[in-house]
Amino acid sequence: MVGGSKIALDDELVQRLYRKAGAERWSLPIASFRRALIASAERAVAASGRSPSAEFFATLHLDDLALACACADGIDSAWEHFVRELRPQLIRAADALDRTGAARELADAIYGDLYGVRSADAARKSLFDYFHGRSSLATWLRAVLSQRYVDRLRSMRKFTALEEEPASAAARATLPSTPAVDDDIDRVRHAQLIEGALRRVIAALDARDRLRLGCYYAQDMTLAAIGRVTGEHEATVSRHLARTRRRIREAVEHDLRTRHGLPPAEIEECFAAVTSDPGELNLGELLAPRKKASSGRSI
Amino acid sequence: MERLLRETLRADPGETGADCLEAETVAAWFDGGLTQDEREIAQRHLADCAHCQSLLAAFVRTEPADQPSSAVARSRFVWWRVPAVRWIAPLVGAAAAVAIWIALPERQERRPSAPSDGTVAVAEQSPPVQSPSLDAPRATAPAPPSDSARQDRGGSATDRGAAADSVRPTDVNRSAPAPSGATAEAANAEPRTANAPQTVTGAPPPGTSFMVPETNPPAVPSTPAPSAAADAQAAARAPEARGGAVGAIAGAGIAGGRAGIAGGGRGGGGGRGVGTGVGPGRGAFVVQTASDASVRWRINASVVEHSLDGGVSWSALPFVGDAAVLERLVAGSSPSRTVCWFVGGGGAVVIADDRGSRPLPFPEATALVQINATSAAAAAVTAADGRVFVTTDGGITWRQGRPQNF
Repeated sequence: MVGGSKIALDDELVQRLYRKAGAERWSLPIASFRRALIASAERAVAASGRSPSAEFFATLHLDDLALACACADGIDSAWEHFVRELRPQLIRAADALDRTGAARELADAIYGDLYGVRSADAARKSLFDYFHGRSSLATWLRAVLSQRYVDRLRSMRKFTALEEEPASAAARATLPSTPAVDDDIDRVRHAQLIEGALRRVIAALDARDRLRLGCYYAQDMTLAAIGRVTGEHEATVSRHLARTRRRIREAVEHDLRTRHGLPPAEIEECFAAVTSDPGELNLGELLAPRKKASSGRSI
Repeated sequence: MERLLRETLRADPGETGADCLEAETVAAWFDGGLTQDEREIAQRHLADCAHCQSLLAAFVRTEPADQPSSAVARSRFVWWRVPAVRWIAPLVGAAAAVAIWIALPERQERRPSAPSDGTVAVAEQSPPVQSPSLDAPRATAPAPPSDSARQDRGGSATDRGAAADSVRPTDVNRSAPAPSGATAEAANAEPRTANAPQTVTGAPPPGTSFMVPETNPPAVPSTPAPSAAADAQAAARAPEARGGAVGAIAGAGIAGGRAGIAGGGRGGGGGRGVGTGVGPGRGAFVVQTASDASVRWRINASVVEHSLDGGVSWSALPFVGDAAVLERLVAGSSPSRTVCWFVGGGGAVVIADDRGSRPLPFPEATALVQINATSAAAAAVTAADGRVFVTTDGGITWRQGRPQNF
């Protein structure tokens, strides 16, 4: 029975799911498992606004949910299983992220957070509390590791960017404030026209196309990797990227022709202006136009 | 457009926001645990969030290579496993083979024979080594495509791709008979492989894909008979190969576009340039990956291109270096889906992967006519004078001599 703001689950349902999860091998209290199921259901309600159906629970990775529960409860057999089966995967994932081994400290930190710390009321707070069975535990661990890795990279780049700021400003200061010749004026204007057209064209693209573009050009992902993200074969990704590039080109030309009345020759000059000197044009910025404040989402 | 996008997009982790994906959502995305609505919402966010895209990129790197995401596994419809395809495909192939066999002898009679120079590719592609018979076909080729068509080379080019995939057995297996300094693999090569062209004797050794020029070449000498008649006989002996050989690429459309272009100048310059001009007329040629018939590589108007769908569509790969070197390339070898080696005149060696291509240093400015690569690091190239050079470190160093099992 599910309803209201507080989700309650049938005992029969919980028992069935408990058996399906094989939770008895960890001697996991059924009450703990029930709490985990409720937490997972509440997150689904919060995300979709709809009460989860019985099919929702069938999609959960119940065995991993039970394992996570048991580990969060400090059950030794569950921890032994985790250390034997899953911790090596976490280490390998860390090595895959950074061949120098620099990501291993992140993996170690995650392991420590999974073990948890006792709060003032003696309740253990574990990173496992954030696992709700929507994926396998191994996949979730890799996602957590990846998130922390990216967050650390971002903070390091911010630090580096601050250090470089004075130099960049100095470099900019050496540029003439006004173009010395008419060609420079045209080049700047052409680059601005291209930037504006590109911004409009990309914003009008389908979300999936923008995702592929961002993954390929901003993240330097391979076609196969993009295919794993989008659920497509790499040949399909390649075709879509090629088609999108064509469409962008055509749309930019159309935009310059119709909005600014540029003749074909000048349109070519616009493209030549940015390919010879992209300047400040940043398509990564175009793909993420909104600046968002940090909300500290790392777990 | 390729260059514009590549040079202007930067991998910026960006800022996190309230809508950014949590680890659980990312994990569920890859494990297929999101509902359709949840996936669409996540996708809309991912399309515009560089931070979350970088998270995806990092996550994909952590995936074990042998475990594709369940989302991909579910989404892939392996059409060739449909039962009906299993018996329809051979019938279609046989019908195509018969049709080509009928047309083949007439075409062979029109072609002049070419001298055996040890490498068909060089005879057809490299101006310094060309035989007189090569000039005639190129001179009579149709006019080049317009600039818009050339710009479209990164796109689908479906008509050209479709033409390129027409099966012409006489164009198959241009890799030359091994000269005296040939690789050990050549000596032990299987006569036929599933993915190798099967119409001409002397199939390439393992690790070496065959190269098929897209121009309409003269008769290609095959081991040991350097005559058009020998080619016709070899092709006639393997009708099943003609029907099914996806390696034979005629590229009539591309041939028409390529031949006849002359003196277009060299574009690209340093850095990530792509040539906007085309050098003295030369044919494009296609290299098919030995292990996967659907993966192909080609040099097209001083651009390295890559296809993952058997030549239906091509994507231009950025080239880091002087694009003029691409015009000298005459032979290639693709040992895997993700790498292709090219060699050519003046010691030209180029390596390409699915993200780009670059020249490799070579100790001598000599004409290289054949390459046999077994990986991204190991390859053996044969010069026109028969000498063999081997690298096992991706072209950083080369040693001369008969290669062992590298």
